[in-house]
Amino acid sequence: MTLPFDVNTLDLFSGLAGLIFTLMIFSYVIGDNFLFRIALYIFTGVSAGYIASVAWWQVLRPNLVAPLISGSALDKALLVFPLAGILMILMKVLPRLSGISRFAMAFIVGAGAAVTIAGALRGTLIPQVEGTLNSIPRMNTPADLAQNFNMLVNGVAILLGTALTLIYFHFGARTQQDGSVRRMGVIEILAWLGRFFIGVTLGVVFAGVYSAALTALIERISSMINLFGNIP
Amino acid sequence: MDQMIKCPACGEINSAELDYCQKCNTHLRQQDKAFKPGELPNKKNTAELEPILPQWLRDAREQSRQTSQDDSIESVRPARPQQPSQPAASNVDFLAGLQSHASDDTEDETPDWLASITGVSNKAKKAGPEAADVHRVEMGGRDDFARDAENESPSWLADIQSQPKTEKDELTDWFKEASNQADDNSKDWLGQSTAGNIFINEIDEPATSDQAPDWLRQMQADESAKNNPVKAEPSFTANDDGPDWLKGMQPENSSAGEGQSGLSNDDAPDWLTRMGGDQPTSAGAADVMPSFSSNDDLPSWLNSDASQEKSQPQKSNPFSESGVGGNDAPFSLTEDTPDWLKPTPSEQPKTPALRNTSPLKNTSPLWLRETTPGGEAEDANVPAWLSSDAPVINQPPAIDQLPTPAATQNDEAEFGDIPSWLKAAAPQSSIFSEPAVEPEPAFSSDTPDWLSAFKSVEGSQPASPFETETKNDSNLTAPAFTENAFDGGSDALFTEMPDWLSNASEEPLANSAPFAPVANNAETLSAGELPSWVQAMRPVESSSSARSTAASSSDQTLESRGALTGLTGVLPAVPGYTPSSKPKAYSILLQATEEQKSHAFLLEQILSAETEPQPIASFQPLAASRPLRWFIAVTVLAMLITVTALGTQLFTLPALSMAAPSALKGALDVAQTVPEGAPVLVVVDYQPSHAAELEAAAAPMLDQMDLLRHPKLIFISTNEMGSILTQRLLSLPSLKDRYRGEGQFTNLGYLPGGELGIRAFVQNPLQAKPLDVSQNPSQLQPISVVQFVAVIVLTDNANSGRVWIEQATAATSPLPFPAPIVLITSAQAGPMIHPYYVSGQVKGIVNGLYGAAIFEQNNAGRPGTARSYWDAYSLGMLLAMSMLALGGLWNLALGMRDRSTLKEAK
Repeated sequence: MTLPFDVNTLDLFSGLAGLIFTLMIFSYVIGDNFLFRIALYIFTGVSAGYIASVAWWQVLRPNLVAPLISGSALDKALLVFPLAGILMILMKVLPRLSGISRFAMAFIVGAGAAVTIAGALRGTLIPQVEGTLNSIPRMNTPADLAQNFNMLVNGVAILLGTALTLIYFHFGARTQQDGSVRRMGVIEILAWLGRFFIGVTLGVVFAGVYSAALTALIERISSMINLFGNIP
Repeated sequence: MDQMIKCPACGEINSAELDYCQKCNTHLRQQDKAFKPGELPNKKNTAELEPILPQWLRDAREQSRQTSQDDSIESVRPARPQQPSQPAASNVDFLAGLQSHASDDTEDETPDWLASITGVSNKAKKAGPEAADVHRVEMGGRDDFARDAENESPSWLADIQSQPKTEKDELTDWFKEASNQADDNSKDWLGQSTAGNIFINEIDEPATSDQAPDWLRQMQADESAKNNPVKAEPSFTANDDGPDWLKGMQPENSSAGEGQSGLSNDDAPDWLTRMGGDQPTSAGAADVMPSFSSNDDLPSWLNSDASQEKSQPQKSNPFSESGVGGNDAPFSLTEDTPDWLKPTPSEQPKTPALRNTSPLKNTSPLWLRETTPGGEAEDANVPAWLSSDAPVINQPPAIDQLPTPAATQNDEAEFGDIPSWLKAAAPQSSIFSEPAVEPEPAFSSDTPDWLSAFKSVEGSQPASPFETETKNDSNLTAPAFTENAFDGGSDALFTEMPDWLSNASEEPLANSAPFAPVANNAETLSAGELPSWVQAMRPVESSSSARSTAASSSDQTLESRGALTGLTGVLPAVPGYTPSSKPKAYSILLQATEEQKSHAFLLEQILSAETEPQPIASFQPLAASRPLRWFIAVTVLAMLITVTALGTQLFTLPALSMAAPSALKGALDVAQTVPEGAPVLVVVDYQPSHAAELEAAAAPMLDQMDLLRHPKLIFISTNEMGSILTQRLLSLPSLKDRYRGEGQFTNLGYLPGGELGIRAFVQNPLQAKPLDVSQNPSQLQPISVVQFVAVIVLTDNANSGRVWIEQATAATSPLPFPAPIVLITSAQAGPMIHPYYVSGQVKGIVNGLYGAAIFEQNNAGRPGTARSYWDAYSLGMLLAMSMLALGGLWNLALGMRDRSTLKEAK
């Protein structure tokens, strides 16, 4: 398929469209407005259309329709189960028959939960515990201490941060003499330290969000500048 | 009188300390338990009263019990067939005792009063079996009535005989009261008396059977010799065997053919004497009857004599068949007739008509039946002592002449004069439903004074209840007290049960109309005056309301307050409880001290304060927020646009030094150490919004890898936008020249299923994604993901990177994933992924533009996107930090100001 215009012209129109939509989104700085909504609806519609095309072209057609048409008998037989699952989920459209979709949804949720739990245990919980325990390097000699000091500090910070953060989320408390319910004093102190680590973590996350947003802003500004720079 | 108690049986005045009467041995305390009108009687077993019975009655009862065992023998007695259809005991149960007594015991145990009358001494007891009904009667049940009757009758009669003037039993008192209160009652009595005479007259043969005592039979024999030869049997007339007063009566009766009653006997009681004294002036029966019937002092059974006499005035022998024939013969022998009222076998031949008569519907003793104008009944079972007048009956009435009972039609009307307690005592179905018997006058010139009194009173009150009947009869002119009549009358006098016992007067309704209602008589009776045997005779079927009435009558307290006002006997009175004084009045006002009141007031205030709504302090919006936002926005945009537009490079890139993150070094090592041409899996899982950052971070690594190792990049994405983002990534200026041809990279496109799809792809990439985005074969190996020499995950979300890490690690667990995993993440996801680097699960991390800038510096000096963004990025970060610092300082300044203001205020 040959486009009626060259790539540069296409880049120009696409750059202009990007500029217009970027400005429309930027208009949100003055509040919710028509331009922002127009840009938002356009992006939502385009995304939905694109997702639908992807689902058809990359999921349904190669995995369901093509095997049913040109696949072997075994392939067709194996497709009975996914096809039945599809029909069940489509029953959600009909309120009277929406209950049928529970079978397919139950299968999906159950299988997903099993995969998630297994992956979390083997890929996150156990390795993270081991990593935390191994964060402090072995130091047999003072030379090792000097060499691995940074790792030691980092490991202690990780260990303290993990422990204090968990202590912060410890809500066991006792009733005091004045009737108030408070945690133990030591727990309160450690929880305060844990709150510090949580604050630092959230600050870092916020910095990362700001950094990501700033990078996107810069890219948009750069793209606009490049667009105008490329305009002959 | 408080210390004295009157015997309910004999009237004897006894001391209050005594429990039993000194005279008759009657329980004196029965009055306490006496029934009152309207009260439900208690069913008594009068067998308990046996100890108080006279000796002769007790002996008779004992004898009857002994003879009860001979019932079978009794059934074959020769005399039994002559007693046709022995009346059911139920009909005459209250007389059964008398029957048994009359049949055999009475001969031995004839009371003194009878002995003195007849002059016949007791004879040896005959060993004859009694009728079965007699035995049954005495065994209890309804027979108790008979026992009581047996117990009471002799005393009453004995009182009449022995102490007619001085003693007054309760019955006599009642008679007097009744006669004084209402003349109608006396008429009733007369009617009954007449009926009794008729009954006797109707008896064809005297009751001189074996059951009759000898003295009576002797009397009958004398009477038969003396009376009209038509008579089959001598009647009980004035003869030597009779008492003097009776003897005196008979001559008068015989001489006074005009009906004058010359009966005067000193032995008679006063009321009898008075009757006799009042009589002499009456010349004829027509004159006699009114005066007779109007006597208030007479018992009804005596009045019945008078009326009977009136009904047969012209008969020389009022008891002759002719005199009683036709309508004047109300009696007939029936099966129900008691034995003692039926003729003895020896007399049966003389009464063939009666023997052949079919039993009429008479279920009550004949002597209790009331006369009717057109019928008479005959009964052979009259006791001997009562049937002494039978000989006066000349001819037995023919069966066709026997009247049909007519009085049964008007039972209630006929008993209008009968006291209710007597109505209840007598079985009405058997007594009062019988046809009336026309009375026969039985007064003669020998009528004692007390009988003369009858006549005198009669003359003043002609309104006899049977007057209508007697006037219709053409023979009304017969003297009231002829000799024969007196015979019959005298028999009736002693055979007839008194009105209070029989209550059998079945007078026509018309005659009873002028009488006072029964209720009046009943009301005049006081409960305490009822004899015990009458109490026992009261019907058991009284309504329960009577019981409740009796129960409530014990407490007649009238409620004067509350909801029960006007009701009596509702609340039971508790004995011994009487409010001694007026209840103490207590104030309902709260008595509290001042301190208590103050505490209560405080408590009330606290409670009210708890319920009052508390205003919520709202945050006052910052007035400078919008200008501040505008200021920040404009400042950032201006600076960024300026820097970007100018393309300055004021800020140097971070060098790969000691300060560089170790994770970045690991990513660099992976990029530099991947095998040549080896497949490298590149996962594109980020949103288009983060494309600039991730493209800037991934481009240096991909450029370096391609520059150094020329790996085969296989792109896959769990995001629907991944395929187009992959195209965008490869279109970057640093990459577009290398990744243009087919075979240099593979875009598998979208991997559906999320975590499940990743799990499936990790286990078998070819099965999970057999085709690429262009629907070409993916050229993947049917092995695990370990077929890739490196896995590079581009993600802006920590969860997306975590899933890939978890599933890749889990696929080879417990062994570590053999291929190095490098995460190129957004700056916002880097801190969350860093622990996986620490744990060794991730080989290296390129975090955002900062990591990209470091990576570009180690890319052999090739230009990259990071550098073009770095000044703006750095300026923007500096600006952000500056604003944060300024904002912090501003906030600190405001805080200090507020504190100083607060201090000044304090």
